[in-house]
Amino acid sequence: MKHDRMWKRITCNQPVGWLHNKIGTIGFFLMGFAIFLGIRGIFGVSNEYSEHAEMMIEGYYEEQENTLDAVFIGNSHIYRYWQSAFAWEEYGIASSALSVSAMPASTVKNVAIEALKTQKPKVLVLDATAFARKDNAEKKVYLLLDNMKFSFNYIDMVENYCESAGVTGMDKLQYYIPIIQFHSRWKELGKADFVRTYPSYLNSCYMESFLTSTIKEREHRATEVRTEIGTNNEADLRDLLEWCTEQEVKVLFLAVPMLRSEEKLGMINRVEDIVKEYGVDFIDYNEVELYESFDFQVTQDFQDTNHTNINGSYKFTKVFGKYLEEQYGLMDHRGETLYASWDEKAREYEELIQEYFIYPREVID
Amino acid sequence: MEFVSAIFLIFVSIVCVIYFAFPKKHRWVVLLIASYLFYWFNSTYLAAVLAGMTVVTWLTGLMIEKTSDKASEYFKEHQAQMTESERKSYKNSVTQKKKRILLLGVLIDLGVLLFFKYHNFFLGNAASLLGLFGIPMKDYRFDLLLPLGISFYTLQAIAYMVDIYRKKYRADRRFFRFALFMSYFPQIVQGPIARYHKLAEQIYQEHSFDFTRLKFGCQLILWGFMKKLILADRLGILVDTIFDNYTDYRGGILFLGAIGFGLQTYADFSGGMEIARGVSQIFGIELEINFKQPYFAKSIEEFWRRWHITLGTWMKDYIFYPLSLSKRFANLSKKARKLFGNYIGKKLPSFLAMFLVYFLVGFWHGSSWKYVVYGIWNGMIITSGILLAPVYQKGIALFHVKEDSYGWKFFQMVRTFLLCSLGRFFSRAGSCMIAFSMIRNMFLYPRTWEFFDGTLLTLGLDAKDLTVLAAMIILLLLVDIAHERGVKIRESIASQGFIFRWLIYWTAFYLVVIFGMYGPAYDSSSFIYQQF
Amino acid sequence: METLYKILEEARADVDFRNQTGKLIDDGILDSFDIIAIIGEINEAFGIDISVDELLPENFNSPEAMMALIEKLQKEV
Repeated sequence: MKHDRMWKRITCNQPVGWLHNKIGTIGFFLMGFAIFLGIRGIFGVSNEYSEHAEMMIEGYYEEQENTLDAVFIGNSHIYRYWQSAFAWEEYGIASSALSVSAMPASTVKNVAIEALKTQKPKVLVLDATAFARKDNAEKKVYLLLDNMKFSFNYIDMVENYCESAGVTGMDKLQYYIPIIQFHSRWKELGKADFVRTYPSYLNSCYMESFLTSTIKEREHRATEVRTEIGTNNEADLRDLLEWCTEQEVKVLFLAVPMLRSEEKLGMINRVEDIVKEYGVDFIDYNEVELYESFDFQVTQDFQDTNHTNINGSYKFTKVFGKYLEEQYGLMDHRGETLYASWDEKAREYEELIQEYFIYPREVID
Repeated sequence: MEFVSAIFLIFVSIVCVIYFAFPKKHRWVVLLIASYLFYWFNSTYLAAVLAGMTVVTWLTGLMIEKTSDKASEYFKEHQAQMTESERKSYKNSVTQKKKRILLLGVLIDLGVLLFFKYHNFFLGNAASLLGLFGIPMKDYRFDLLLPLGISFYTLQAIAYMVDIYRKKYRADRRFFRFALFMSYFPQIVQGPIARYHKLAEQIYQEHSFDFTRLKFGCQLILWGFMKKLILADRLGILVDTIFDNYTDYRGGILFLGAIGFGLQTYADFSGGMEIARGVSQIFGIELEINFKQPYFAKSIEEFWRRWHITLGTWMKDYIFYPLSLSKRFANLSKKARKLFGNYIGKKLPSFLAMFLVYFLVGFWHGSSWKYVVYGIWNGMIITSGILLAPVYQKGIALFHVKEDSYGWKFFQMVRTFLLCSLGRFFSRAGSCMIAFSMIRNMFLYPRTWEFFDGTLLTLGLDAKDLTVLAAMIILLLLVDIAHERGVKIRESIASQGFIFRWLIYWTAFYLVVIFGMYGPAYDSSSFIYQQF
Repeated sequence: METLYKILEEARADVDFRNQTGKLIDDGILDSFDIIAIIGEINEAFGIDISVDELLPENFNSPEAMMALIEKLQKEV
């Protein structure tokens, strides 16, 4: 009764068409929102990393639904190691990576959720190094903000990021609506802002820095030491692991082989301990036997102490692909009509990287 | 809480919702609470100053009226029994008493304003003066936070008390409603200076929700944002570069700075006014217009009837007319006529009053001599214009100038604009001396080539920014021309088809989003982009 | 009335007060300086005291209106 009276007070002076007004208002704001969605992608940061990130994220969305058996989430320790094109050619494994440079630990869960919206893989591979650090890897969050689709998951991601990064109040607004930060880029908009200039070859990497390297000879160190990781990272990791245990898909945490210090490898060990607490699988390729299975030639196969290059990644994909095939029963999809375009894409990738690639191997026609 | 900020918009939205959810009779309470909350966000404890002045003003008004009412009653009863001279002396004593109460109220209110705003001015100048006589004085100046809007609400209060004395309307007996009149938040920041009989009536009325008013209000606010964020703040960078490094510049560039500042202030101030009017319109309360396309004025006198109109009318009603019509000035006029002849003698009281008005206008702008000079500069131009009117008329006849031709009108507008811009040196430069040196350098070293050799691009804005600036200035010009012709822009857009309308509104909105000077890019302390 | 016309014409010789039909204030024919001068003269000539509250356009828009104001003020003490 009271509600009726109040409502009547507000509307009693409306001309006959107040419903018309309400619909009009809604339509008006829908138009505004549509324009917003249209221009939001234009104003992001533009550089080599952002173009690569755009390729990764949009390339992933473009994959046909439920065709992937393995999905990789992480930072450069994924995309500079695992090449889906190689995995397809060697084993017929259908995989893709949704990884961008320096993905903040607080966002990994939301990216995984996003990935699982369109795919039902047999295994979800998560990058352990995203958590094996003291700081929060905040700086490049814009790579995600600019390219991920706007959804409730996006909002949740921004919330988690802000909480971890200590962003509060009105400052959060510039993460929800990155255009607030980057609208001043109107002066320098170029083709790359409007069109994706980085075509996707099964989300395989072909950044310039990836195809060359300048590393000097270096020993690989393994260790049993445990080093503490940042408290925010630990919290984010545990949150992620909680979520993992609730998922149907099998989760595997991957620590790629690196030539880093004991302290860094110690952090990876610490992450391993925490992951194992939740009963989730973990594989650390820095352990001596596993590292040796690659037969790496450092000056040939590594780009820097932190990443392999195109050659090293081939070795990695070959070894890890076999592991996945055996452990998770991944099938060979070569020849299936659903994956008809995959051969073509893999071949295009081969042509692209040919001049940098050292190792001979069979190319399937 | 700045007007032009996301948080202000959120604040207004919340107040709106609560306002219209309340029963009509009590909606003003929402505004009162919102106004004091707003004031608190801005000036915290200094809200007490506003409250205090509200109390003093309200009481003064009541007391004046009580004295007047009592006297009228007494007079009615005893009029018949009094002699002519007794009647006159009674009336006199009543007037004296009312005057004393009024004077007390005005002095208190004015005193508060003088204290908060001008204490350092007085202390500093007193020290300099004593220093001239060889008497050293310690530097007693101290910093005090200026209560928000005190320059505006003090004038509003004084106008109210004087109006009660003049029996223009009855004093307000309801303290809290009066408090809303004094603290109404859309206008507390920078005016318009409201008159009681125009604003209070609206505040006390019951306002229903009107969808069209809501839309128009929002559009006005949007236009204000456009002027402030796209034009004023962008121009500000150029103006700041020139004035903060004035020793580096000469000639035309200096003048560009002054002109730029004039435009910046116009866009900033009038934009702020539009935001205030727009917000108020949503509540159903119409505020007075403070700007009527000032740069179309054909004389400095006309300029002040188009710029900061409510200040001008306040000065006119409470300084100019009272002074020039007063007995003392009338006597002065007689003496002057004897000394200087009829022509000047008749105009002398008005000149003096006019001069005082502009002195006060200048002084009101800020507690520094440069503002006083600014005021006097304007005053001098106006008085000389009037004095030399017959000379100008002869010149016009001599050159066969057609007074209602476009050419002549255009000339007058440009002349006014240039004179006005010259004055801007005083309102923007750091001090009087700096302003003088800038003007001197401007005339001594014209350096006109600097407009063509690319120097324009070194003033803090690159070519793209300058293009946006130029485009916005042209848009502003077009809108002002439309207003000058009486076109009601919001209404004419509203009568178009809905797709067209909506595109215009959203285009305007996104123009602000994209080209506005806001966000971390312009706040060096919190810019993530910088890390790359 | 004649006195009034004399005062007006002395203040503004270029305005034909007897025959013109415009509104002296609203149409901007007289400006604030003219008003001050005229009021000063009127106060003296008719022995009244025009104050600021009477400064309304309707009181000064025509010589007839001004005369009406003068007569009203003469009645008051």
